[in-house]
Amino acid sequence: MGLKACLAVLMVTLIFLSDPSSAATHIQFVYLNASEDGAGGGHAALKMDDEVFHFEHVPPGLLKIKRDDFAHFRDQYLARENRTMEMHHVAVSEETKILLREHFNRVLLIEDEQFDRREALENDGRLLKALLQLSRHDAINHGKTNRLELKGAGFFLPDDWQFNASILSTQPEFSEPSIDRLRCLVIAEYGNNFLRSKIRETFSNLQTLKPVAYESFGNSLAEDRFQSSEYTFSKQYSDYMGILAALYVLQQGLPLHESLLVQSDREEFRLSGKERLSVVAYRNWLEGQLVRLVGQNHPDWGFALLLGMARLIVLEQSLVSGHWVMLNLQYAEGSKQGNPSNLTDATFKEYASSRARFSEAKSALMGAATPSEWDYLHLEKTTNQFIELGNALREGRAANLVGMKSLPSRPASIVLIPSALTSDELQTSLDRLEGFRSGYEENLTQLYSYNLLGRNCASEIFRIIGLAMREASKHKTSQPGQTFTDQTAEVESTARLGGYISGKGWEFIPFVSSLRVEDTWRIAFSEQVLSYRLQKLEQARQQEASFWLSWRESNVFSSEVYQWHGNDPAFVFFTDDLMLARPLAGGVNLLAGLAQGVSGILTMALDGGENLRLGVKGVMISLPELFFFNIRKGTFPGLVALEE
Amino acid sequence: MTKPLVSIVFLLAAALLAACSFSESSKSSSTSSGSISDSASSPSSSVPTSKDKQKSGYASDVRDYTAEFVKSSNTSIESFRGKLGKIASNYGVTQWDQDKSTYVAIGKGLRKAGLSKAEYESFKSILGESQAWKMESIEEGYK
Repeated sequence: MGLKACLAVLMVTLIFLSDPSSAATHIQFVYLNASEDGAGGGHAALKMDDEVFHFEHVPPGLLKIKRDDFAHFRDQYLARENRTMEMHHVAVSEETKILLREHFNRVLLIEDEQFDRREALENDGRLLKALLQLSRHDAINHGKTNRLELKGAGFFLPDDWQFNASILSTQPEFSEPSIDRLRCLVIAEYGNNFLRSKIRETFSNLQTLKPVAYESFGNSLAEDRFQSSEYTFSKQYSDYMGILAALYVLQQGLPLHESLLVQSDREEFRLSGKERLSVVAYRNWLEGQLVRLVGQNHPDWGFALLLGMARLIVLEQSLVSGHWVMLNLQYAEGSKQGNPSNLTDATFKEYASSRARFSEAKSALMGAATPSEWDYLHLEKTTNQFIELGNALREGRAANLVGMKSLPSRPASIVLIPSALTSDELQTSLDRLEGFRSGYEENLTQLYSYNLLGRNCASEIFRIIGLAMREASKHKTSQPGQTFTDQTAEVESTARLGGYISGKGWEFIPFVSSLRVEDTWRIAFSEQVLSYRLQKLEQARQQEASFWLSWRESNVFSSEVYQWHGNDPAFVFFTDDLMLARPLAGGVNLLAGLAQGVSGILTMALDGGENLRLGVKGVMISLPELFFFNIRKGTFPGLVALEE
Repeated sequence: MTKPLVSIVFLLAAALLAACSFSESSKSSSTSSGSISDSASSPSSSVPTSKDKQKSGYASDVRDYTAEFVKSSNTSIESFRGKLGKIASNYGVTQWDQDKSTYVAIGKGLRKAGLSKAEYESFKSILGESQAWKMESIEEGYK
């Protein structure tokens, strides 16, 4: 241990001994080096326990806070974006950690509501425009504009499904027994006419739904004032559409799309007698939940009913087949198909651990005193992972685990129900909305504008810490008329973190911010975690340290760790672990980028300019390499989890 | 002549060095069809993978949201439910309304908000929808 480290430890010890109520703990300032995805100067974050708070650039020029689970953060930045991370562990009291966590989390809650409202207003605008087109019978509405992407509807309904009242008199060729059973329970609880009258009522609600009075929302925003977002027109409309689709499925007893199931006839998935009992118990419990759901007065249960019915079907299929059957999470909302990762070398290890997690999840479901959705959800995920990893091993390919942490929510594009409002009424609402929206957008921009040189992911962390310090100082001091300034924050920050960084200097550059933290705050120790590719190289060098290995892994053609994929611009050499030869290798990369750009001009008509865009990006990120500066690392978009 | 050039180079270098990461959802926005959707863009929080951590994360998110919501000027029950549904969905849960832990966490949020006794009783009844088991769970969390 060096002299500096010894002094730091001594100082920390003295500080905590002087205040017996303060328990020593750590928070971490995290710096990630540059990457090609728009983070040329790196990225900064603050980690507290398993949570990481950081600020991201949201187009068209806003900065928004995000909270990530550390494992997710690490998978995203170290694995998929292949970036090296430096962590400064800052010694603080437990109370300071709680103070900072509360402050950052409050910023998250406030911003979430403000950005949710922005998104809801955008959706309102799209919906009003589409309804207006429908009411005017515009020819253009044959397109996607008069469709609603409805979560869960894709379990049962095709894209472009359209509801009309006469549809209820049509009887399906096949009726799903589990849905029939649920329908009987609903009828037994609420009466014979319940479903038809609820469907008619929902249909009528959709037709007569009126846009909200946007003027009543209030346009003033403040970064320290929480204001919950409203139940807007599009949210209400989506909720009613969800109910309508779900009740239609229930009424008709529609079957689930076959492609949404995942199952295996391997011995590990055979249901034991005890497991069969737990499936029956969970199915009965779920039926009870769904019956109660249908009787609710709130209009927000459409998706829950759709997913619940889909799960009832797979539970029934498990009982019939004698093997576990689940909804296929590879079709979860937002999951991307293709680009399987090159996890092959880790697949055996992952397979073994997924087997253990699968057994654990089964035991939890069987051992629970009362069935719980948490237990089933966990089993659904682990079964999916275990089956996919087993298939990958047998087929000798990489496992595709993308999407397997998500909730199954297969959406379908549903045709909108026309509004009973006249075109003029819809147009008036749209005009009001647009007027309100532009003012709101302006206010949001004033509050959260992303400023490359002054307000970015690094400077914002220090600014929020400064605000938390002022707040803490306010609570301590009860003198009337006292003002709380940067100096107040500085005194508080020095006591709590060992020093003060205002965020107004050169620390807006992320790697400078890391150096400032190291020099200013009370650092217990620092560590570096290598990027995915560099970790793999380290491991390979422990087995075989040779010139051939270095050469093989220096370029995309012979590398066994990295496989070029279409999302990365064309390049030849990795330059993040090259120093002296970096300009030379960068020159070759520059030529590769130019070649891709030129070929992109020729293929523009075929690929919509994608190749040209990648070529230009390739040139831009190769240029700094000529001056010994590295941005490009090569990415691994298919990686889902890092080996521990 | 060289001075403006140096300034431009300096600014470009600073711009290059200071650029921050883009949000994951924005990376795919160029391919978005601009269609109307009932699901929000990618959530601003990612959640842990272990079941126990998920349960405690869900409870603290519900608690923190409740504490802010009851102090806010706009307190529509549908907004509140909409947000709880979104938090639950982020953790993979859909039957949140019939889950006792939701109402225990709401009770903790009411405690965190530091309400007066009368305000607490009023919110307990509104958010618990005057249903006995929900109000008992809120009470349990509040204690």
